Amino acid sequence: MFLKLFRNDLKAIFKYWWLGAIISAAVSTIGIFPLRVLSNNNYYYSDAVYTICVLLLMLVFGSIFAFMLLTTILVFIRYFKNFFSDEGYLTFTLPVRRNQLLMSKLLSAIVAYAATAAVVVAEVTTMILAAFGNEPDFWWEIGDLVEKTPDFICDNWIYIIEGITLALVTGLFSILLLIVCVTFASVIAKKAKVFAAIGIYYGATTIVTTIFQVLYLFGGFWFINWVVGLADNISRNYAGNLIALLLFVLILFVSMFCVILYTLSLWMIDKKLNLS
Amino acid sequence: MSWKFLADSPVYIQIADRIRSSVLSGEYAPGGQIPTVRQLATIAAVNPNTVQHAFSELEDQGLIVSKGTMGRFVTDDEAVIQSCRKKHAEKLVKQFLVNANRMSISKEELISMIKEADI
Amino acid sequence: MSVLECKNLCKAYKKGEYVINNLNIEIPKGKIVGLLGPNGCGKSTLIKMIAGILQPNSGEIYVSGKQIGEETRALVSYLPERTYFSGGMKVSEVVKYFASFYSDFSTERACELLSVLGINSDAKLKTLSKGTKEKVQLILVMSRQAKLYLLDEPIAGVDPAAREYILSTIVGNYNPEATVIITTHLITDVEQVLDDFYFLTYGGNILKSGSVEDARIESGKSLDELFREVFRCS
Repeated sequence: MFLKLFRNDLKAIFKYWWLGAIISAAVSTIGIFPLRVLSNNNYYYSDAVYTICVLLLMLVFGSIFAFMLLTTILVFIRYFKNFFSDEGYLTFTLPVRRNQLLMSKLLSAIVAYAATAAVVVAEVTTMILAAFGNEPDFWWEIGDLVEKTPDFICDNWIYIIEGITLALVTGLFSILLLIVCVTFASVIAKKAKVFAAIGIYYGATTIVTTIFQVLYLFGGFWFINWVVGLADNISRNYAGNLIALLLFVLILFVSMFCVILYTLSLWMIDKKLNLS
Repeated sequence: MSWKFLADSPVYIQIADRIRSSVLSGEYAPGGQIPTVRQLATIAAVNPNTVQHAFSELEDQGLIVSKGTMGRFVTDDEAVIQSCRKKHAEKLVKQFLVNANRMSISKEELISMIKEADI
Repeated sequence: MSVLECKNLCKAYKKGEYVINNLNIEIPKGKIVGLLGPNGCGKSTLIKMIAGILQPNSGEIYVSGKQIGEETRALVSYLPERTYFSGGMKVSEVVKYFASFYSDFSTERACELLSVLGINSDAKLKTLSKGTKEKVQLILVMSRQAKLYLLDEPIAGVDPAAREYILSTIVGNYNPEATVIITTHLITDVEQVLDDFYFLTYGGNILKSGSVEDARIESGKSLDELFREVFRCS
């Protein structure tokens, strides 16, 4: 049953995802030329050309951003439409567990974002390779980086792993935040549920990012001062371990929130569902 | 077209009446098969249990016979059909006379009009 | 075991305003039952709670002895008042969707009924008229071998010819192991299809119930006339 739900969710999201992928890929190929122009130290173009290049690059990054926004919109629409529009009458009377319904939405959202990220990475890589690929300096520098990588990884493996995990968990958190906001809005609003959902999501993300920024600023300062203060007394190793521990605590913290958000959403669709 | 029923009597009696009319008019031939409960219920848009009730009523009167899984058939006993026809005629006559009497039309007038009627 | 049992069921949308108040009902299998009452008296609310898309404030609902949940959703076939498909799907795709989730769904029967009505399987749902969409939905609901069919206002807002078709289909689908609950306020059309009736009143309680035939015999009135009498607006 779960796989059927999952397949239907993926089909619905990816129906229009391809548009975004193709358009942003097309636009990113335009970005090859400005990159070449701007990095060319041998030949100086006119100001007009440089301005155009900057604008084109802005367009490229704009298209990448738009593509990511499109993914969010597609995930939002699928979630809202399938659960809280008239379609909900069908979805919530299917012989499946509510948990399966929600998990399918979450996983399909993760797949969608992963696909988008993969495409963006591919685009940027292609752009860079196409722009600088025929310069020997470029490959020499890449070779140098690649040589240094194994050592770098060995020295910093724990930070790398934790960093990646933290990034993934934060991504998961933002998806779940979207889900909770849409669910909450749909459960409490009598009319204009879509607008309520967008409004609540916007408000929630603003609050969350503000909190994180404040924590990061103050927490960061405090932590650095504290570590520097200790630096005289502790070894580099110990400081390193502290940072690893901090990262680990952060991961746990965000994961805990993820679980809370998921459970909250599940509870709302199980007990508080009220389709008009 | 679904069947329409009057408010004044139970639906199963009205269904039984209709089937009886079909038998008397020859639409359902003596010994011939009649539709099943489900078929009749679907055509008439009536609850199957009600149709079943009507059939039971007619079976009690001997007008239709159930032959198990083969279905239901009109009786091939002519005497039963005739007696049914007679009862129906008596009912029609009674209704007719009561209505005519209510409007002060005499029996003699009626008899001469019937004799002269062009049907 | 009865197909549906409600015990002390209560539902209030706003605090203190009970739409369903201490409702007790028990419906056996093999019946076509009418849940009748004026607009807004709680018929749809009760149906939604049985279908599992609304939670009661208190009380219990059992379908074939099971509490409302994943299992009962497999036993219940629900036809809501509104169309619940995403318009972009084709008729054939919706049939496949149903078939994939419901093991009791018969694709042959659905296709047969669709072709009798001349509905093109390749047509997108959004291109169909409202009446046709409702017929498609009815066909899908009726093509399941469920234990309990919940039809919420199946003939409201539908033309008379379609009404006949819908009632005929409901009757033709009759299964002595299953029960059909129809909510409606169009009683004249529906009463000959019903075994039993339940008059639901404001404040969420059963005012009167019984077999339609018995009610006719006792009162000498049709169910429609009885309804008007009971729910007189004076």
